[in-house]
Amino acid sequence: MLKITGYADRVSVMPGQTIRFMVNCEYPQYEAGVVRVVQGDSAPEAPPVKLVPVPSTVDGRYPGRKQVIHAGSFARIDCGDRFAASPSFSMQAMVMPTTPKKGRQAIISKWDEAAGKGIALVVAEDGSAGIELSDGAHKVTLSVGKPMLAKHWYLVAATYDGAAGKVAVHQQPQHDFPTIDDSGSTEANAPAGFAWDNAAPLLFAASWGGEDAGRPVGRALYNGKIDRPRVSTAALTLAEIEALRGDRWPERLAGTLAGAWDFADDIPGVTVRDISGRRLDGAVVNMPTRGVTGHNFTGEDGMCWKDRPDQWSAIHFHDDDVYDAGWQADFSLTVPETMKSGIYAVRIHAEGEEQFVTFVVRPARGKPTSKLAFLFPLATYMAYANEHFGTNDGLVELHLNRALVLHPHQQFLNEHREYGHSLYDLHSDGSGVYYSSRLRPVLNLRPKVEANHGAGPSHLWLFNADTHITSWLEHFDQDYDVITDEDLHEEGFSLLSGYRTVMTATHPEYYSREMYDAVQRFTHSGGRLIYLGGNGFYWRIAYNRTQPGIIEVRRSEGGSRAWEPPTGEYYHSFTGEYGGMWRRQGGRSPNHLVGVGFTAQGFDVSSYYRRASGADDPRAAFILDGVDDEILGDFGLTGGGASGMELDRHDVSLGSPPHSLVVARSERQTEAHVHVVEDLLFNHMGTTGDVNDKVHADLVFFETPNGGAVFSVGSIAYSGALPWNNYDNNISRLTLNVLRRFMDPAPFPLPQA
Amino acid sequence: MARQDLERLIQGEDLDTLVAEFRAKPTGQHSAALQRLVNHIRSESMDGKLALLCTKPHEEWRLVRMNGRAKPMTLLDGIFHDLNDAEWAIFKLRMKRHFDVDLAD
Repeated sequence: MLKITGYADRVSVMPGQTIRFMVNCEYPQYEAGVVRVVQGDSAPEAPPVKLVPVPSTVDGRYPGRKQVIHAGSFARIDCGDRFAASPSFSMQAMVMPTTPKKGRQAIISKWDEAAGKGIALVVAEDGSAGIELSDGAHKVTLSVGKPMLAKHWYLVAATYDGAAGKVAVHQQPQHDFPTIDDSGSTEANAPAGFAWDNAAPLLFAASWGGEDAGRPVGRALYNGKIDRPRVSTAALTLAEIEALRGDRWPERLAGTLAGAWDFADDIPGVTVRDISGRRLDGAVVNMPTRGVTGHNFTGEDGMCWKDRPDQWSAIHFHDDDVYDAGWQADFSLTVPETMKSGIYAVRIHAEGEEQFVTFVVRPARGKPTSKLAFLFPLATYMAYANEHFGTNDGLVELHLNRALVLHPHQQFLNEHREYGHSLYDLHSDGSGVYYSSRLRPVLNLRPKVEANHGAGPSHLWLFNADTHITSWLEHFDQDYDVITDEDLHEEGFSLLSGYRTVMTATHPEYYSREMYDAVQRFTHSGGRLIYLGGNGFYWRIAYNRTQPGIIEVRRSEGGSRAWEPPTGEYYHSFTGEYGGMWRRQGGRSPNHLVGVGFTAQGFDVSSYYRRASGADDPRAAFILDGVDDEILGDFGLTGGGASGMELDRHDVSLGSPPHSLVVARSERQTEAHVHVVEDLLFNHMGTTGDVNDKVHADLVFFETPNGGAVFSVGSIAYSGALPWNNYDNNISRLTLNVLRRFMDPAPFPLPQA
Repeated sequence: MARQDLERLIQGEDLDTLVAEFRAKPTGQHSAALQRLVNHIRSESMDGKLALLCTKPHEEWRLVRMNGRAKPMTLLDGIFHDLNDAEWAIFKLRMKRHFDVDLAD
């Protein structure tokens, strides 16, 4: 099991800036140093791993220390001793528990776990609403005793009457099922004048576990939605509780209302607003999911939270949400002006174990140091961060059509769910993961790592597969800058404008509007784009405008997807933008941008391309100059061929420019390569690669306005062919032809209309 | 019942021939009957699924049994230095598990 993990406070850093590294190391000490990552594939069939040591201030030996992650989201209201003089208390909320049988879960608490003291409205051990009350010596617990149904809404409340010495709990389902007995109220005697108050903050969805190294720790973590929580400094009757559940309250209750929170306020952000007038505002911890439907969502008054915020006044909390691991920094690097733009990693090693924290040195803003940029797809790496493909769903093996091979980091992540999920995973309560952060160790963003989806012999996916491209560039002494798409999101077209050619990685799948528009403008401004992958520009994402390092996806409507959001959750909480595939978003399909779009996926064995009619067009003659072969790429490190894993097809009806040329087309894809669901209405037979003509990759070229051009390969496996035979092969040759022509400033004339 | 399931999958094809086909090439396009068979046995849930843990990159793999989400996997006897041999070992175990068919090397 891994004993070294780490991350940095940023991935992209420019000369003069400082990047801080956080390390968890269970060995007494470790050594660290910076390497430049050129080739990270350790398969014997690949060229030798090339990690070039770069002397820096990081070099050295450091004491190891264990650092842990406290996952689980909640909301925190710092209320001090506001309630000390209020022995009577009521807590209520609309809730939709998703794991009511999980065990004790706090819905609203002012409960100090260390002192065992406080008051809490909980999902009790028996799955029903309950109250816990304790002065640290004596504890009173009471629950309704009728388990709540998972994924159904309830009004729940707990009251303590400090004068009369009574506790009461209420649970009312929003929908009555004739065969389900899940409604009830119960009360019991309790000591009068109980001194339950404590120094803990008021929390929603957790109890207070104190602080650890400056980070708040939630306990009794709740899974599910909470909507319209209210706290009163009086023991309310059920009728009074019902009167407070809405957004208008009788004046007679306002005097004892101590807090009423509107989770629809600041859906894009982290604050939770008290609208009672008591100003008990707070903030969420670990980024629970906002912009989710509340108990009163109708589906008839609009589908976006911006239309009717009052119907999205809920937050979905998860016991495995994690945003910022919040570790202590162990060392940092101030990037010297002389450090060349490129992909780097801090290599950490101790007692035979090795770990990497990958980062990018980009050029200073507005000062490219090359005419070629490699666009590091950080958003997609974040989307896949710490994926659990190999340990969550057994049907993964039918995607792979080969045995499931797990790697040590996956074994670790399976047991250490606190390291958080990828956008392909489900939370522990079965809901889809909408957010992914890079402020935590990302154990699959490193050289030498293998993955499930990349086929043999190398078995690489995303970052490490992308080092086939960087090693190819360096083999041919091609100078290049590295920039990340997070930089692109922030700076837009100006980041690209200084480059003649931009080259993508193997799978640039996740794009924000800012990223998409910047690339489009680049190709329309004389820029040249080499799209060296498959299934690119596919999902729309959103960045949070106040919280760095976190992205959101809503897999709305359709697409080849790991989960689907429920109706009413199709809009990003971070921006209010509609989520889903770019091909459904008005003239921004991948075909518009790069001439091809996602058509098939399969992960067993790759195939080859056959020269197509476009190759004979004089406009494309430069591409296969010196390449006489009819068959292209019947070899490679990813599945043994250049066409495989995820494939894109040329299709004018989906936006491919009509003048684009198909230079080569793949054929004989395996049965494991299946046609994408977004092209299907009724499912039907004959959708697999062995029989379906749409299961192929197209290698496409087209000119763009102002002398630019686009070259697309439409296959993730393509780059695995570049290093084959010591970089001497027809895929390498044709790619080099394209790169050299694209680096030539001579404009590409648009063909005659 | 297991035998009926097997017959439904292979649809009159000769099992020995299909087994030999798998042994010769466990990965990639199979014949229709063999693909139906392997699709069936590869559909095991994560609770109990047979899989491999890479113990030395590109060199050594250990047979494991998955025990479900978030639960530690169980290391089983069986260390392989060739993925095709590992595929074959899993295939044999699954033919026994699903159809009570004993296969020899």
